[in-house]
Amino acid sequence: MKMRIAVVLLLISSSIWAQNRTLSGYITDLETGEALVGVNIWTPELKLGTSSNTYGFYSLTLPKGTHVIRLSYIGYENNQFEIDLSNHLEFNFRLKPSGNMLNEVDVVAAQGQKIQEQVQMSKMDIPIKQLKSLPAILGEVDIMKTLQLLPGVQSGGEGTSGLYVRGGSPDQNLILLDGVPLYNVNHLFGFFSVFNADAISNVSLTKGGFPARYGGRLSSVLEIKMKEGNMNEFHGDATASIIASKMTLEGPLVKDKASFMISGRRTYLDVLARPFINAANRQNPETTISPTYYFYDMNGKVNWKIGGKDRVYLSHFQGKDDFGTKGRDDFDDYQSEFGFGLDWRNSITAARWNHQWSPKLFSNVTATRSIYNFNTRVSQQERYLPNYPDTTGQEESAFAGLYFSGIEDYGARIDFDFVPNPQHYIRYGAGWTNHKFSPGATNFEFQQSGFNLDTTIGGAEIFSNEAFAYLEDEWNVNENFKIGYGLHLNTLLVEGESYSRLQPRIGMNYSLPGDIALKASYADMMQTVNLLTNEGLGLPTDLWVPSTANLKPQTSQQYAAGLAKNIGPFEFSLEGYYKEMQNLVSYREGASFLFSIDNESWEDKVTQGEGTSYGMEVFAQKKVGKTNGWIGYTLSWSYRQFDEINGGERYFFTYDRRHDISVVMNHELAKNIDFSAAWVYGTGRAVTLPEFSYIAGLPEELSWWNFRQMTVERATDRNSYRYSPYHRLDLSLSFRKAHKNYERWWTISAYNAYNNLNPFFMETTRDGSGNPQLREYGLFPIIPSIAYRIKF
Amino acid sequence: MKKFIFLSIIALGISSCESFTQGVIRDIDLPAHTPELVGTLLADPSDSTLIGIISQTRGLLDSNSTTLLDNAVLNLYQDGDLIHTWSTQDPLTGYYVLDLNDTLGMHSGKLTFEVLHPEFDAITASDQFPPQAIISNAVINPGQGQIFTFPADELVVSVKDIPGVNQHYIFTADLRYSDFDLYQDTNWYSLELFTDDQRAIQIGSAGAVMLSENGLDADLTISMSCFDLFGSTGQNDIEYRIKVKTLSDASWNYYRSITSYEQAQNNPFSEPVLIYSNMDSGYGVFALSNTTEIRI
Repeated sequence: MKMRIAVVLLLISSSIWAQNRTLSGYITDLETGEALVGVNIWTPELKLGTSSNTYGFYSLTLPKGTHVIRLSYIGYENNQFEIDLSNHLEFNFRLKPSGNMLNEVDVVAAQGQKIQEQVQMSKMDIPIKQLKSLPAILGEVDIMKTLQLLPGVQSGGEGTSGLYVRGGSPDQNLILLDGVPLYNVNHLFGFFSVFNADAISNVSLTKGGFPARYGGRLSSVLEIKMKEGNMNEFHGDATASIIASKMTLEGPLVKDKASFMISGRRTYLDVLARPFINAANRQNPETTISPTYYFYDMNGKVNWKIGGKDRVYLSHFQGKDDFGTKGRDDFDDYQSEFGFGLDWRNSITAARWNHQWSPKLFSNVTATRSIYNFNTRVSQQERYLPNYPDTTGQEESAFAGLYFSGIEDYGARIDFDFVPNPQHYIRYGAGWTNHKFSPGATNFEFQQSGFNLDTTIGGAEIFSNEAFAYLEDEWNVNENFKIGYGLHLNTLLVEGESYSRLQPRIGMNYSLPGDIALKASYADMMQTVNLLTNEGLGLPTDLWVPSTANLKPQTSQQYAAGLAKNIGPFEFSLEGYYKEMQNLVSYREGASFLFSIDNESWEDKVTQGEGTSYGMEVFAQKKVGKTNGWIGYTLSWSYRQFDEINGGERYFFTYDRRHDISVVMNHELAKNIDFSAAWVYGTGRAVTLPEFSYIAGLPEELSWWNFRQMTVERATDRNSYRYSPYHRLDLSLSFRKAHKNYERWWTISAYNAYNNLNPFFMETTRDGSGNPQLREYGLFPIIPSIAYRIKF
Repeated sequence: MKKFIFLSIIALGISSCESFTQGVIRDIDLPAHTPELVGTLLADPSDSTLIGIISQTRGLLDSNSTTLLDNAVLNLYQDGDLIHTWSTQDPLTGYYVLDLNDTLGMHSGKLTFEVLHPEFDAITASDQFPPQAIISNAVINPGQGQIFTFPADELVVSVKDIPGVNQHYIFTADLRYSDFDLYQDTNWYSLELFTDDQRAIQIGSAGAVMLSENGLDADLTISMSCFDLFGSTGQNDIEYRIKVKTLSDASWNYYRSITSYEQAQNNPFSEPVLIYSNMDSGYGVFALSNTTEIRI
């Protein structure tokens, strides 16, 4: 009897399946052929739908028959088709970009999937068009600076481009450029990021409720997708500003089959400054100093469609910053040459193969390589000539020091998208990465009078292997309830030790009356790389180090809940979160990245502890229309606790900012004139300020004869003092003119338009009367800039 | 419109240049600091003198620098019973010095240090003597050590674990001529100890090595290097004195913070150091240790 029931059920389900047909294919931009990510495709009458994946692939299974299919996506015209699904159908959609002038209906319709319909919470997509309209600092629109304007994302302070997401530190952000992790994203000591907005097609930031396909970092996932290159026509885009120039070229290699994109940027601060430096040196010919700084970055990508089911991509990014100064003393009896320099560089390469196995199954295989290096160099050569006092003859000495560190990753992963029916969107995959860490070694060379020293201290290389697998499903349970759930398994093998963690992920969306979505999520994460940073300074000397046999991987658990709703063109969301972090890594008290005379390795300088953060984020955004932008507010707390820091007592995280407000607006003043403004306010960040001093007794081992005291300065607690609040207004005005074969823009912008002094560091000094005073220093006053851009 | 914008840019440029040349500086007013009492007493059973150092805190922006305090009374209790009290100051140093007729001696139980001063509330802290180290072996291996690239002697010391006690150690060593008549010299000369042991902390200015078992209950052996101070003197004519001091948790924390603070002073990139304090209602430390020695 049971066997008969089972057979009947199988026949029924087979029958149901046999009634369904699958519509699948790719969605691209009509003009450029670029894949469009996250396009919403649905049938109004059945209220069933899906969205396109990272490569523009979609799959929608519907009952056999004729259906109206509607597509919507931000910045593109609405499309509606009637499709005959008598059989499985492969159909590629090409969407036409909408114009800048939209009526209200277009604005609403062009928004894509409404925020209250998405299972994924804590995720922000920034349209690249909106991003490029924002005020440009020194003529450069910066993606990281823009992300710092979002709720839940703090900036490190003036001149930094690190992201501090929901109480996390910069190393806790998985920054992916075309799926390849980047370790250092700073140019110009953090003032700019390495991302050239002209080479980017898509930016999305996930702060919580992480799907199972992501792993390896605790606090956020920042996915940045490079442009693929126009499949139909050659185009170029060039910009010259007061400190840098960039150019992007793209076009077909084989029309509608293969395309390329190449983009490069370089600063010319070194060239501009040289005449001034030479003039200053002419004032004092015996001592000359020549500082120099430059950065460059280059993005390149090619992609090729092979048949209708395969596509291969090759992308590459590299960039470098080089800061140095050389000097020379040239006296009659003494000569010396000295030099100091810092340089850091990134290089990433990714090769990718997409394959559509069936209308419901899509795969992506990626091989990646990511290299980051940082070097500090110092040198001095001295020559005492025979006429120098107290010398018997010519004496020479030479000293050179080099501090170097870096990471080299090689990895591969495979990901599958399986869409069996509109109720489920299943993803699964696996991957592996081999890491090689060079966590800071110092090489010294010294020569004098026949004495030679050449030694290297610290920094033995560490190799590790990391493997992961995941399975996730996004399930539309019914019209009102959606749930995304999955598991991510991560294993690390390092120094004979293995660490594994099964990380559950879950997110849900329940529709309340009034078209309001109630969302909740939980995510367990593990991280096997750490950034050692001097919390008061965001220097490129920050050191990437692995988890080791002695240093456990970081872990976190994040709970989030919130409400979301669309009202016309506006998206509103209110979210609360609570995050606990374990095995966080920090320098011990008194430690620094510099070498120590007792050959202390980096592992001996660090300690592990815990963190807690919680808060509330309010966000209102309008993505399209003549006036668009957003308002964000965050109320948050973030703490750390290490047994060996602050006497084991809990203390505020350096980047604990109680209130964070951002207001961003773009407005089309006239047909060819765009205005944008961004205002940001943040409570002052925490700092350890020695508030008082006293005489402390010394142990006998540190005492000198009968002198057993030392005057010490102390703070009440670690991070118990606050810098002044940070607030800044950036303005930008852009004038466009269209010519026959090209468009051009003049953009005038002002960074820190009302010239507020935002704190960079503080110190105690003495005034003219010798009285001590506490002084706060800013970095940037109002900075106007002008840029010229041409697009052809 | 274009003229207006052009003039605005000029004005912006001039004002920003002016801002650059003036610098971007703001002076901060801190709230007035309320001074608090500070007391330091570090003691060992082998001490024949107790030295208390009493001062007060001074605010960061206070134009008067901090000084030692007079008129304090120092008390030492054992399990609530007063065992020593003193208020005599050394005229040269200003420290509160108590000469004991004998040594302090080993006291079991909790010791409490209290500082009284007419201008402040009393401050107190408690601590216990840690057990003495049990040195199971100590040996000098001439020429077997290395300091940077230079040959040196090796000193190996082994201590036995005391179950259930989280032990912290400081190792120091000195040497002298064992034949006083021959060398006419009875002085002890300090040896500067170096170690590559990653578990240890070098107190560079003191030539000492600190080591903690970090909760791992196990016997411990450490290898250190020291320069051969007496050069060609035969080993039979040299006597070594190895001191192993065990530290209480408070003592360990204080030593760690003071040495870190010292090392961080000339390094602008170092992490802030909060000097350890266990005095209630004030600052300073009361910390105990226990020294044993072996001669080879």
